[in-house]
Amino acid sequence: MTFQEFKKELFAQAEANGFSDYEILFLGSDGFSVRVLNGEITEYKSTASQGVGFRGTIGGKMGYASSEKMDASVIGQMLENAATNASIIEEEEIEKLYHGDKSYPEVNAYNPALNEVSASDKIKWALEMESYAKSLDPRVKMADFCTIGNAESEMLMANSYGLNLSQKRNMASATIFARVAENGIMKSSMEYWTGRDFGEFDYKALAEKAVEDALSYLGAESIPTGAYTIAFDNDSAKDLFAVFSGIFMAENAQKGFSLLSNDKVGTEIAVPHITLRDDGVCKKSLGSIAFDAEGVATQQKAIIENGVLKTLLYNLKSAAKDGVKSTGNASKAGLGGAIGTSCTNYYLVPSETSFDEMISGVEKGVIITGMAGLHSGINPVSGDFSVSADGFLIENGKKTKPVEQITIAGNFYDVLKNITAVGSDLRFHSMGQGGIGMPSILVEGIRVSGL
Amino acid sequence: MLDKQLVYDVLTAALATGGDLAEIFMENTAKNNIVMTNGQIEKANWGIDYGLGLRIILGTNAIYAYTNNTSRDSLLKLAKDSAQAVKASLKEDPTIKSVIVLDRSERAVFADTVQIPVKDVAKSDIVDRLRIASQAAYAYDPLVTQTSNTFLSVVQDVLIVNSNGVWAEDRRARTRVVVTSVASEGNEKQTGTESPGTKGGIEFLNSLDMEKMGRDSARVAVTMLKADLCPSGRMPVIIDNAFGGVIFHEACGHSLEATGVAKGASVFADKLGKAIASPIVNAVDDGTLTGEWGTLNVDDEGATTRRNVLIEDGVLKSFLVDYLGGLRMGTPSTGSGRRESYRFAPTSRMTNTYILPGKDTPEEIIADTEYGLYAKQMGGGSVSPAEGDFNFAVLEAYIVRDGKIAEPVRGATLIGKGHEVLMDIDKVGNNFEAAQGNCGSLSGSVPTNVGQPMVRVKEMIVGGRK
Repeated sequence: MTFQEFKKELFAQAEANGFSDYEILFLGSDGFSVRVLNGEITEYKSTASQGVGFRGTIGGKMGYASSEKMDASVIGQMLENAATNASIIEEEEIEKLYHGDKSYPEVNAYNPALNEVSASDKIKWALEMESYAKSLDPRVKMADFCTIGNAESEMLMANSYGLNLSQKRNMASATIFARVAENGIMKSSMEYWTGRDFGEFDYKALAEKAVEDALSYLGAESIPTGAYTIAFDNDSAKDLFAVFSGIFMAENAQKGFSLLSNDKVGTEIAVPHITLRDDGVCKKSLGSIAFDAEGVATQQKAIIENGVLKTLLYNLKSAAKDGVKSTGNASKAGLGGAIGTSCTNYYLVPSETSFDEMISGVEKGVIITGMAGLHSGINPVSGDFSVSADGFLIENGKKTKPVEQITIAGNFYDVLKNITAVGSDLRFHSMGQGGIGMPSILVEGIRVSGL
Repeated sequence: MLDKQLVYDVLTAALATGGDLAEIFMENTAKNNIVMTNGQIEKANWGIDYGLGLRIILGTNAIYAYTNNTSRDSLLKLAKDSAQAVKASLKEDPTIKSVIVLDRSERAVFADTVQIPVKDVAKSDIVDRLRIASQAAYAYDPLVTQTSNTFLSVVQDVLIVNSNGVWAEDRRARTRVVVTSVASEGNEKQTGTESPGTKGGIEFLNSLDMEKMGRDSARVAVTMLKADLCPSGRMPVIIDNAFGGVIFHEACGHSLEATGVAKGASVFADKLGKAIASPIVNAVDDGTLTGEWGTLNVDDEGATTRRNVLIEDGVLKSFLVDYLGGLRMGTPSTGSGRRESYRFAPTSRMTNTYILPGKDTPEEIIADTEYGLYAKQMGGGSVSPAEGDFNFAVLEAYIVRDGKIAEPVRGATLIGKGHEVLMDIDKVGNNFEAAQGNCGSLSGSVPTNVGQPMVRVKEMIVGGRK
């Protein structure tokens, strides 16, 4: 069954079953990837998937169902389950379908040329990337997870109010994991590239960075517990800001799962040199998107501007509750997920200061290049975190020896007030349907535990 | 799900240009979940995940493709496209393998052991049970400000066939309840969670005391709210039973998986037959236990699961091996090939992974500890198998002073190196208990049990905020 046939049948039966309005979301994606190890293709992966999500109002409540099977036999089951699900909803705020915006931002997120690169070219680059990484230093024992791939997706959304939206996107990526060893101790570093044009892909640069980083961790030791200035590099800063992004969602604030609230808009929650944005369309990110999971046009906006909270992020329901407009931040976790809220392209505006300049005034500090345990060692409500970390020592303004086996502990709300400098090295990564970008940051008041 | 002829044709097309083994993994998975927030039902979802993954093994390498269009034409195209990739990878002239597909009478078809299927239960009945937990949490203490209670049911029907004559059909039903309470005072918020699960149907709910779960989650949240910040530094750590087993899962289990071991990217890769833990440590991975969260009749490659002794008296006895990992290592599969869904090629994973009980009582272990941290309830963790570095969060902790449990402390993280911490276990208690988790790795997120009695580690790095 094609999407159009499925939609027609689903909508006809939804109408007949007493749904007063209804929506269908289609997601289709195709992907290719190749992973090499020891000069051989260890995994060659080719994927195709599609599925539909349904939402509809019945008895004044919203019901959900989804299916990756797209044939006539599941339509009845979907509608029956959606109706049962709607019947048990007790929350008073009613979720509503959207009639649509007058205009949507222009998004160019699809490069047809990406499909013209042959599988054999990608295999060749992956093999060359591996052998090049191994040739760089005798201490390189392995370059595993050497992967090159590309993927494309199509999203279609339609509802009984005549809303009809579509978005096609594609992306290419490459990953390398360099493992080096000395005196029986192994260290590794992962590096990756994402883009929309293989012409910009430089496997040598990627391999060099991974190997250089892995080698620099050799000889790492723990350091004494104490007070240090912390420099999060752009990668670890991204991990920290990603894991606490939920505090800016109005939905969480309204339920008491964030210490922020609409009442705090206009107050200072960060140091004045901090501006945190969420832009639906963002040239530097691969995750530009024209509409959110409810069909609302995405927006360009500051969450924090010069330290002052400007807005929380809203979907239609949380916006109605605070008496404001949706900011176009509705999200759906997969086809079957309920409407929630998430960032589009969430980033901290960089400064002009290079990383080296940023740390030049630090007498005693630690550069954090990696954190582990962010899924468990944080309290998303209170903002507390305590995670395992590694990186490098800063002594008298210079990066010196590698550090491992330490934990860093602090509070995210305090971090916002204790950022003493922001770097210029903004780098975007994929996050959900959008992206996240962070420059490196310098932070005081974080507890380091080690020896 | 598929008839014999189609299976035969797809496997034959997959091996038409070479390759040693072709395998089909097909699933139809129905998922139900209901989320109650602050005592009101806020979300309820139903969905079908459906698709087929085709794998061709060539030497020790694999070609993997998946689709959710399972029509004959679509599957034959998938097989032919994959065969083209085989052709491109071959360095020598191929030998074409013949395909064995079993007759109905020879197949492994497992009986559905679910007593109460989810479709036979009114959702309002489940809602009533969630409400009991929420009400009990609010009633426990006025400091409880939010509750979140979730019901999850997953019923996965699988067909696993390969060209060597494996044909397995199984229904894997899993049911879980997650009860969370949040206690607040000023800007401080702490949570407590209870999350039991089973391989089984809705009958599981009848074995749960929802009121007690609500109360217990509230007790942890309130205790931690009133707790002082955890001190940092090196100290003895007593890790209690149940989810405490996550220490073995992270510090050792992942590093025994063929994924890392086969290519030497594990601290235990060359340690088979050698002491890797203190002699009082015995550990198993057992996929056969009835009704347990990580249990399977067959793994996701169609191999029968079993009880694998991993560590006996401190000595490493076995790795966790999937089919491909076994080819790379030259050992047979241990029934450990798992994947989240048809979207993932299988790799070596854990099932129910336990440290077995020892002889000390918990009271004796605590009485024997002059000063240290008592980690009563653990959160999740992670590990880097090549280096052995692991970390995990402590949800409920107390200081032990002069052999007695003293004040509660919050915000602790434990870190260490797996090969060091196993050697440093100096007490193993007799109060074994298991707990349920979801483990994420290369082949996605799979349900696993962790478990242990109380253990004491001589010294660990405790990361706190003080």
